[in-house]
Parts: sequence; C-alpha cells; structure tokens
Amino acid sequence: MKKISYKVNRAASGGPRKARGKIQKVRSLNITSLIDILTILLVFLIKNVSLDAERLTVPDQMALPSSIVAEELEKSGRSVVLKVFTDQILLGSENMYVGTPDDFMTDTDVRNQLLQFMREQSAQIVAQNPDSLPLLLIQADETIQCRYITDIVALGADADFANIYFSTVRGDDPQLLYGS
Amino acid sequence: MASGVSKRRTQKGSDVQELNLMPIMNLFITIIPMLLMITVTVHMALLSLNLAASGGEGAGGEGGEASDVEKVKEIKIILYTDRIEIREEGVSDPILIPAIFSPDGSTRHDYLALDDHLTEIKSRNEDVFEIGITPYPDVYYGTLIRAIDISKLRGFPEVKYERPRVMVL
Repeated sequence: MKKISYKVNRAASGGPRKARGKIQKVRSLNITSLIDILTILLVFLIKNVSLDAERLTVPDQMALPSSIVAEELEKSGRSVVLKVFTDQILLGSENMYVGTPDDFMTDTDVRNQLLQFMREQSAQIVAQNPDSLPLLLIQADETIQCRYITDIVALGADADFANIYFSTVRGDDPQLLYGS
Repeated sequence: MASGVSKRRTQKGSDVQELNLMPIMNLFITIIPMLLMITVTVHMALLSLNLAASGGEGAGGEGGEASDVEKVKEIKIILYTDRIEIREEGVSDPILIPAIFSPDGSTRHDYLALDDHLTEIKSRNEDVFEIGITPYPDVYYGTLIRAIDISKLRGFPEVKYERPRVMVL
C-alpha cells in the first residue's frame, strides 16, 4: 500500500510535466543559424549560376585549351555548340551524335548531314528572330589536329553562321600558359 | 484583467516561435545540391574568328570591294608542327621560330618568342589590327588557340582563320 501511494504521489507532483518539457525543448531546436547559412549559400549560388551552364561548361572527357583573352558572344546572336572530342563529334544542346572526326573527314554522308543540320539550325535562329545572328561555338579537345578544325570552320561558314567562336578555359598567367 | 492580457501576449509570442520551418528547409535541401551541380566552377572564355574570303587571298574580305578599301599591311602566322613562321608584307625574310626540343624527346612551340616578335611587329605597325593564322593539318588545336590568344593579346584583335594552300604534285 505504501508503495502504491508513493507512486501516485510522484506522478501527481509533476513527473509527466517534466517529460512534456523535454519534448518542447526538442521541438524548439534553434535552426535559425542553419537557415541563415543556407540562405547565404543559396543567394551566392543563384548569383553565380549561369543560365548557359549547359552550353558553356567543360564537357566531360574533353581538355579544353586555355587562353588569357576572353571575348563575349555577340549580344544579338544565338549560338549552336559543336563539340569535337578525339573520338566523336556532338552537335547542339541535345548532343546529337554526328560521327567520329575521321568519319567527318572521309565520309561525305556524315559531312553532308552535319552541313544540313547546321544550315537548319542557323535558318531556325533567323526564322525565330530575324534580328538575331546565328553563331557557331566550337568546343574541341586541345589534342585534336587542326585538319578537323579547319574543315569544321569551313562548314560553319557554308552553313551561314555569322560568327564562329572557339571555346576555351580562361587562364590568368601568361608565363604559365606560354612559358612552361 | 491584467493577468488575462498577459496570457494572450504570451500565447502570441509562443505562436511566432513555433513557426514551421520544415518546408523551407526541405526547399533549401533540394535547391542547394541542384545549384551546386549546375554551377560553373571553371571560367570559360571565347575567342572569335574572322573568316578569310573564299579566294583565300588578301585581307579585303568582301570580294571586289577590296580595291576601294585602303590597303592594310598583311601579317600572317603560319603554324607548322616543328616551327612557327611570321610573314610580314614588305619584309622579305619571314621570321622563323623553331620548336623547342625537350630532353624527353617531346617538342613544344616557343610561345614566348612568338609573343616577343608580335610585340615588336605591333610597335612598328600600330594601325594594323588584323592578322592571318594558317595552321597546317598536323598542328594541334591547342597550338592554334595559343597563337590566336597571343595575337589578340599583342594588339591584333581581328584574327583571320586561313586554310593552308597545299600543292599536290
């Protein structure tokens, strides 16, 4: 009997209240500082993110050459990207497979298909907005031989691209780029 | 009365404290990894090209109009696998910059010498802004880009890309 009464008394004297207090402490965990950090990070990332990220990122398995000079795309232009890897050529933001660089040089069908597609792309850009210029942006591996690049540039000119650009990674130090 | 008011105030205060931050946390947790994935960590650059006239001759660019336009001195860089050649109109001997042979057997072009020569040519031709670059087929794209980069850096912003004239015998 004594024991029972003791238990009842203990419960009545605030046992459960203590438990509720603990739960409330857990609920009111202070995450304000965490949200502050996340907000700063979010603003920073939004500021730095490029809408052209897909176009102007370094493609996987491609070593782009470095340059100190950096020019900007023609403001009134819209670009079509051509990626020249050592083993394949991809066209457009959809990365349409064209063939290997050697196919491009030797197979007239591959070359004609590429020319036709590039013409369609440039015509589409002009059709969508007559004021905009079709621009060709070439991203190529630095170990690609110029025989391919020269022909691709010529094809781009044939396909009515107003300007042709080479995409590079921006470097800062001339001594590092040219001296070593 | 006084005690009633204070109770209400306390209740309001506790409502504000118990703001449900879980949805905004979920949003952050979704957005931040996505942004981290698509953020560009490498600064990209672009080099623009001028295309040579289809005839491959002269710096006029627009066919028959070339004769009406004031003749600009022509400067050309020709890239070979073992050397770089600079040809300047009115100068009989081209400048030859041989590639540097490393002890391990590899070769690399002497870009510093190219830089020095272009600086010197520019100092003599301050009104010339165009330069032609002709890479031979076996030359690497990296070499071409470096030659274009140095040309633009040394005061020749208009780079004309030219196809080498190969004679078949």
